[in-house]
Amino acid sequence: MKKNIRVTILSIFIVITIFIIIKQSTIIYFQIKNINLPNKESRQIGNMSTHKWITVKKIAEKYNISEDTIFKTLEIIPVIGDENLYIKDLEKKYNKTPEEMKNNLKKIIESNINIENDINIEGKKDE
Amino acid sequence: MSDFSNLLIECFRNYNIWFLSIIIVLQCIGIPTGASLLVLASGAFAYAGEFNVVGLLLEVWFFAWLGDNIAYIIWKYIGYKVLSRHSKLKVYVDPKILKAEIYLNKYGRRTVFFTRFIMGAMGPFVNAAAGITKYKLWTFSLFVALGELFWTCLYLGLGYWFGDSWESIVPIVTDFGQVLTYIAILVIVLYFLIKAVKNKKSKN
Repeated sequence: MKKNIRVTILSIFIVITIFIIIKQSTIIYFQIKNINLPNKESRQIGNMSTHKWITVKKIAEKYNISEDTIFKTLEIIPVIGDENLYIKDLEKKYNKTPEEMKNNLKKIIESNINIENDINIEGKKDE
Repeated sequence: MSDFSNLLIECFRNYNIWFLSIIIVLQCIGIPTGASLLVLASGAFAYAGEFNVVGLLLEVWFFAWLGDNIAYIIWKYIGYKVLSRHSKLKVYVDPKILKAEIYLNKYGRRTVFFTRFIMGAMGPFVNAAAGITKYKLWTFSLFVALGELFWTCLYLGLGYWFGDSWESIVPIVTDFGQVLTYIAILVIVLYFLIKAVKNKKSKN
């Protein structure tokens, strides 16, 4: 009798586990179907997953632009110490929407790409 | 992203690779810390130019390998002693350790290798079993290194590939890990069911 109970419990457990696996696999299937594969643009500035964790100081260093220019593009009048705040914290502090910040950051990144392209073209001309 | 994930990334941004290495080592020992998520994020930060991707890969790989070896050593030298102190527990555990030893001698290499990245949730249990059964350290270490290389490349590569959109891949990675864990549970339960049915038949 005891053995029968054990087999029954294990069988029920297996059915439940199979049901969960099928359910989760279906969810994953639809998630994969709906995901946009990364392209150059989404990798550089997609849904701000990395940029929201970067400070203005770091962006200034990376793109070789002054911190003031970045704040101007972000439409923020900074106080001392703001350059060390993450973009997400600046967003909260100055009541900006993520979309606004993303669009303004895009301007900085795109202008940097244009400058780099110009340098490359001029370099090729010189050669 | 949950509050815990945000906290993890905030700490990672403040303490960089040191925080990441501690989290990886703890996860390998068996404490769930969200290391996979952080490695994924670090790949994306490497794409953003915050880290050198090759250096990061080597560091993550090394600390994952180190964590597994620390877990092995802990179980080898401390785990068995702790189990031996409790006589009732020892009586119960000893036959299981013997079984684990036989299993590891037969399939140890592939078990250690695949539980690093495909069946990642089983990794800490395999570390414990290998440590307690005193499985050959060199073999364990070598296959851990190979398996962890795949794990590192997979998560770091995904983060690097998705770049600034890395958060969009997190639900898929998390759910996929869960499915693999459920599959592992299913295999274990199936094993017990088959065993129970066989026992029942032989008694009949």
